[in-house]
Amino acid sequence: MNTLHQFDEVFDTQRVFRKLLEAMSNPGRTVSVSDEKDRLFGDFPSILAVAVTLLDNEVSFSTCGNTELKNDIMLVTLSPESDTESADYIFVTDTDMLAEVFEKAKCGTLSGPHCSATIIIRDNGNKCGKVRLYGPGINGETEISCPETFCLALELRDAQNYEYPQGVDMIFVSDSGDITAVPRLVKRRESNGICCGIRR
Amino acid sequence: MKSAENYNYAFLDEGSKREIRRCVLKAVAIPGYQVPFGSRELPIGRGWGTGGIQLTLSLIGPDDTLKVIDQGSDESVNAVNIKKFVRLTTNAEVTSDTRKATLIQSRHRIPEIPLENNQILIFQVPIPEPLRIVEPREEVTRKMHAEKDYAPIWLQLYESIIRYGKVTISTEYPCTVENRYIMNPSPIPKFDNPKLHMSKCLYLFGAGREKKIYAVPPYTNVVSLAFDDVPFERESFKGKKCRLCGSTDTYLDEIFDSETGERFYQCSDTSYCREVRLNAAE
Repeated sequence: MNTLHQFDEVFDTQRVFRKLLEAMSNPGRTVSVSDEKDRLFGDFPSILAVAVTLLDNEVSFSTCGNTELKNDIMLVTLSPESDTESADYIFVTDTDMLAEVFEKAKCGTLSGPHCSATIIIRDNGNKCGKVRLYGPGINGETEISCPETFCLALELRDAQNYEYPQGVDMIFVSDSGDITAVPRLVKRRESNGICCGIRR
Repeated sequence: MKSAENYNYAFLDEGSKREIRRCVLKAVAIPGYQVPFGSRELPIGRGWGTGGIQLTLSLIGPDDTLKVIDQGSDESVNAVNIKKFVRLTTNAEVTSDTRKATLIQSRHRIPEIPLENNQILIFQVPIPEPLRIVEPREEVTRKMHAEKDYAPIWLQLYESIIRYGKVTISTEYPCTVENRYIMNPSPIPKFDNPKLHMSKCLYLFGAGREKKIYAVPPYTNVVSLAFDDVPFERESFKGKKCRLCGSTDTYLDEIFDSETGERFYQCSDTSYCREVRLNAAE
């Protein structure tokens, strides 16, 4: 029998989830799902691996206009598509969409901060600079090499001035299967006002 | 229950695991905040560790080694049965060695051996809401958390000091996580509270009956509530030692012999106590 993919919905999702959990509890650390994503299909198998692990018909998602990714996610998760304002998971493959996404993404409420969006951002894997992060999950602070998408996303998130515990959580996924997470409490340490060439 | 083949891997259906996993990620992102989840039925009564078991079942994989402790003991009925249940449905390796375990499910203790970054400690929590003792209504406590209105719990501590000259809470001693949420660290003795602060490992808390999951990520500030002039104090075992291994710096259980009237003390963490004795014998 020909199957669309060989991704194991029990064991591969468990492994991807543990990687996500490691990334989320150790912000700035890069974990890899390259083995698991190789068993999926389409142009965005790494993102699809995250989607299969977290999405089902109980949560909604948005791909910000990426029809191919939308169809792939709907096919394997049965999750309903939604507009960016109400989506539980927002997948961003086009950096130009980031500003709009951060403006529209739901950030939860003070009494229900968990009702916020998780933004999964595709990065191209090209490192362009270093950024220092601090917050829960980081021992003191950590300096990581990061793609420009990473800094731009942090910049846009900070511009929203969320009142904690409201906020959004970000997961960066590269095409090669590298995953880095930045939960809402993790902040960027100022470094002479310049981060990856973006002057604040 | 006879054969693991009759069950889905790790008992829970994949939809249930997915929901719990989503909640775990949210809980890690908002340290100390109680994320509601749809607690599932298990072949164990609610109140017997179903929150912790659901977390364990949602996390565990073939590469994991599981340790289960109940009040520090690897061999108590609750711990043994949970291990048997998880092993039956996952065939995962189980251990009593704290260092070998990747997942540790615990009822009311944190092991004496400091945990590492690749380990996850999962607590079974009976009452996750630290404000429940001062406010019975869930909708009100949610609002109190939202507004960071923690005056009643501070008042409770104050009243305790006025009446008894000290804070008399011995377990479930409330603590503040990242200077935001007041959290119930589950009924661990307050001896263990400092181990939550800036720990290397991830702590997950599951309350099956109350349908809540919360977390303390590694390297997170966890400060036990205290006043400037009445600092937080752990239980003191000054002058006492374990009757088996002789440890003086561990949490000790008191054992009372009703026939002789004698009181003994021994390590609550049985695995640690055994290790100390083995090292001494070598």
